[in-house]
Amino acid sequence: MVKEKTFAFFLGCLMPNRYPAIEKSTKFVMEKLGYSILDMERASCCPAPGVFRSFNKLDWMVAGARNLCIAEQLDADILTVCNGCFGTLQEINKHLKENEEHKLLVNEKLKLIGGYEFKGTINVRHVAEVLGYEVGPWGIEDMIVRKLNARAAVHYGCHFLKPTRIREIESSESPTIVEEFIEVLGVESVRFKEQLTCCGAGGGLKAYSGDTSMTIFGEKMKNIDEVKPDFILDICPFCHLQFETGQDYLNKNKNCNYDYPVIHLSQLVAYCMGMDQEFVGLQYQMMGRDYIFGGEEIKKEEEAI
Amino acid sequence: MTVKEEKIKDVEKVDKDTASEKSEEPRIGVFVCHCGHNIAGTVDVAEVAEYAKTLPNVVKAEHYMFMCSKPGVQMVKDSIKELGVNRTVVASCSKNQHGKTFARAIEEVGLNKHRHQQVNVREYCSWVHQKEKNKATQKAKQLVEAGVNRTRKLEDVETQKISTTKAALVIGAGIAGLRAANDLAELGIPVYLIEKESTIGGHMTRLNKTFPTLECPQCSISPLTNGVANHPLIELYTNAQVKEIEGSMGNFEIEIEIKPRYVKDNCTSCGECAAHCPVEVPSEWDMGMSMRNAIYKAYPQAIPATYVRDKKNCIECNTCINICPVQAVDFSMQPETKKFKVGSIVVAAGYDEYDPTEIEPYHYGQDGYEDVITQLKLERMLSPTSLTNSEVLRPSDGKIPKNVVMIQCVGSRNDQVGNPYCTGVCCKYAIKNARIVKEMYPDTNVTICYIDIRTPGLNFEELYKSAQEVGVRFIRGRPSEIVKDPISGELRVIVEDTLSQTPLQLKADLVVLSAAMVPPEGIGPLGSKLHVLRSKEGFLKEFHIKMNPTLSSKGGIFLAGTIQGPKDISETVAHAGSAAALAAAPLVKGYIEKEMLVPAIDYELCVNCGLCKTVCAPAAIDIDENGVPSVNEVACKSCGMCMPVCPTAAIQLINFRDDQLLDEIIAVSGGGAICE
Amino acid sequence: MSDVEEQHREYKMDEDFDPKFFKDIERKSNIWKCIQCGSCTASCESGRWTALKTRSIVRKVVLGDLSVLKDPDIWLCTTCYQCYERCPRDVRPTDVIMELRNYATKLGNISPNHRAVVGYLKNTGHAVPINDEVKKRRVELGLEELPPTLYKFKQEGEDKDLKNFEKHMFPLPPVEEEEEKK
Repeated sequence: MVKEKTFAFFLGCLMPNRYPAIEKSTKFVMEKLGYSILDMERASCCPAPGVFRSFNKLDWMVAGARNLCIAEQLDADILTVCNGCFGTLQEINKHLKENEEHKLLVNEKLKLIGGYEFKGTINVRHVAEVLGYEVGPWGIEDMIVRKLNARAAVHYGCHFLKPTRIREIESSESPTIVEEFIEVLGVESVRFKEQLTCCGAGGGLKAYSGDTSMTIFGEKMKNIDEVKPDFILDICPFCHLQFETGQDYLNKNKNCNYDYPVIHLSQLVAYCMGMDQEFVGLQYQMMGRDYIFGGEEIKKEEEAI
Repeated sequence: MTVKEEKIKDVEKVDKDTASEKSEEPRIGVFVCHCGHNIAGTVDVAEVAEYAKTLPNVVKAEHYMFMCSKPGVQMVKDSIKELGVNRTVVASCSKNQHGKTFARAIEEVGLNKHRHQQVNVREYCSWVHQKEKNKATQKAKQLVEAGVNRTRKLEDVETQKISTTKAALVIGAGIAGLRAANDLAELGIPVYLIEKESTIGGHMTRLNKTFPTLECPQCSISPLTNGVANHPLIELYTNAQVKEIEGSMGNFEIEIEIKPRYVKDNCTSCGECAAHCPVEVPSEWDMGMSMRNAIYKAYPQAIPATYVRDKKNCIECNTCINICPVQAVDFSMQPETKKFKVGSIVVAAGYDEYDPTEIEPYHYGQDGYEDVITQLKLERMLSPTSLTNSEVLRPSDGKIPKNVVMIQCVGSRNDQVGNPYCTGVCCKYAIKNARIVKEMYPDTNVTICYIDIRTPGLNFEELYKSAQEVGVRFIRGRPSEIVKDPISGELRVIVEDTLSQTPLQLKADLVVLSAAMVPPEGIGPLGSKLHVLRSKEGFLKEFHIKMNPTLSSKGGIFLAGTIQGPKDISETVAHAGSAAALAAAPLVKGYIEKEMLVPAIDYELCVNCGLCKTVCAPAAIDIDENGVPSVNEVACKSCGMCMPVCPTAAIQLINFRDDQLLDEIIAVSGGGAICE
Repeated sequence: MSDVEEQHREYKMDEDFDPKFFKDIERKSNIWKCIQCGSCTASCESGRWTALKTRSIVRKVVLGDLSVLKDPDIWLCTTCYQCYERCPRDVRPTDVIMELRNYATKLGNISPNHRAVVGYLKNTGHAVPINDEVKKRRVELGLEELPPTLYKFKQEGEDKDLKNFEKHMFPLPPVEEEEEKK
């Protein structure tokens, strides 16, 4: 049995090595909500679903299973904040639990690379669905100290909801989980054209052909620009990186003039729960450095005795 | 009008007088056929006959060149007449091939035809073991011995003549039900025609034009609807559904429930009530394309012409009661039940159009996507009596569309959503409608997005060509989604033109989805009441897809029209005619002859577990309030499924009892012993 | 056939295809069910702008057209799964593309950028390794300078797992062989 209200925090690559503010925010939020967050020592890249699975599916499963084993040894479900890591770990976890033949193959190789053994005892969770369903807008309402008054362009990304038959979270054609959650924080999701398309970074495309990646992204930025949101909200550090570096690229190469701050859900929630804006880390990002979250302080009513 | 039921004298036995009425010593005659070289070329038939002579109770064993020939058959008959043979075994070809030949033969000389056992030593032996003559002969001997063992305990099976009730029930008054009711009535059979809606005519009356001739369906069907409404032998009940069905083929007891119309029969159809009714709701008959009042007639030419009140939406302001010039409105009317007896039931309950709400990328039914409609809605707009005056208008703003895009295979041919089958009529009606729209509005672009164009049958390829000739654009590609620009509100259909490998974004101010035909709502409870099987797609299952598409899995119940599967009007009418003919046969003859090849229950062994009833597909086993089972011999289909599930072997099918089968098995396995 | 005909041949012969090559591809019977309806290409975000035609890729697998393994377009997919969601025959084209990439990698058809990423994984345990600037940021934010992943343990002298990665995982054909082929 996994420990209750405890998560093994899977860091991945982009969050710890490029956007540590997201790491800080997530820890802040989860601990304030009463969860115990454990370090996953010796974790590696998940490995990235579009890249490594494209090279060798078995080794991708083995490396992913190795990360799962670390959490199994901690007896805790995995928490991740990245669509890519979620895509890899949730799918491998589910697949090996259901496919005996592949589980044997993977365990055979796991022995070779460090004596690990996959048992299938834990589940993999994404912070967006932990907050959206488990905590829920009703659960967060009492915990926030600041309520914003902002309009955000919400980007779900791809691997959080799809493939729906594996993730089983909600419909990928009309999702509402994040938007319903942030409403309580005072953030209105503003609809833009072709809202659910890919950011263009995944599948190894950003490394393979940066130009194509930017073409896809450029179209998305154009649609977002039409509605002039206060900031862009994402739930994946790779999308986060794409929105950041992408706006920069488009400004430098395509005569654009974008400066939308890019915020990960963890950063937003942490701020609303009382974390100082300087830890949100906008000063380390490329876009929207001057953006001030603001929002009104919520006075907590005195409890009558 | 009361229905006169003619009854024939009750059950008569049709067996000829037989000497085998008393239980007596078995005297078995065995005849082994050469079948030319077919059997004799591999099996030593003489040896087999010799072996048969050695078996207990065998008084005659012969072999002959062609048993099925006249002299061969005569040989069998002679043995009965001369030697008192009272059970016969013919070892030759299969039961399907000549089993009946010999059964009929022995019946002619006074034996019950179930005293014959056919042993197949051709398909089961000589033909498949041609290279191993010795082993084949040994096998033939074992097969013959098994046959002899089997015949030893064969009993007479009587054929009962059951008189039938000369009346029929037709469920559903769409084109299928109307055709079936009419055909039955023309044969002199009184028909009870029930329809769950308040008007008859079904989907056909809602169409604008029928393919391929582009005729007006209301005109085509009008002689039939009027004929049926006025036929002296047809009793029509609208707003009615089946409540309970008991009995079996030839004699069903039906109870129907008639929902109150709240308007009496003296209604003159003047329409004053509707004109003054303050309530407006979307009209179901008009596929939501217009409004109706809480007291209404579905459409001007509706039959019956009596108005009907929708109690759920009525606010009971009583305006209609007061304004009716003949005081026909009566809120106190109650549901009625009616009981009657019929001999056959024809199920013609129709279909429903698939609801594309499930296919999310097409956004059907969502706010802001009112201009995404289905083909039936388009038919309603084009219809002569439509709210739009037969114009095609966008539901959102009432303007004539400049770009109409039709999407095929919505809810059909899909393993992920909807159904895996191809409905088979959508290509035809989409092309029909596309051509009509294009000819009405030559400046409007009309596009059909398809995966395949399926237009088999006379005049349909021609229809396809004619649509292309007037400029309907055909794009081979299945659209992945319909997108809407949040600022301009413009719709675009995203599709790949696979023939030129070009991804496209088509402008579309009206999108028409060609939705599948699916089983109608309420088919589950109806099927349960009828005790008929359903196909895996949810329609009612036919007895045999090739040889008997209008008989259901239960005797006496026939299927007409789309209730059995998607089809167009021509196919439906032919299907309904076949159902009517089959339904009429036992009623016109006056009786059903049924072989009583049914199970018997040993009540001392029976533990009242009820398992036999659960596996009986034609629902031929009834369980009373004490849990005691009894067999409905008319409904029984002799399948024998009740036997293996019975934990105490209390139920045994005549001539297929456990001990009889065991005798056969012992011989086939080489045991050689006889069971007592 | 003369040399001239061999050089300039537009049409294909049955011998040019090898459908048995893909006989072990995962879910083969489901891929063979493709009716080329084009829902995948219509859904493809990348295909809108590039030569990637998802439907054609699946067609080549079904026909056994092995040129697809050298096709650079199979690397233009972002694995957004939109085609997978919308396919009426449940062909799962995204998975087909990733299987093709596996075959292509074994043949050495892998881009230099991707080779580099594999190198980072084997060296540091990360596809995107940390740098000095971010190390400073982490400290400023109140986090440990290095996250507790394999890289940290390697810095502290323990690199057993990474050595195993190098030895057993993600083998790639050497680059020289590819040049010899040319």
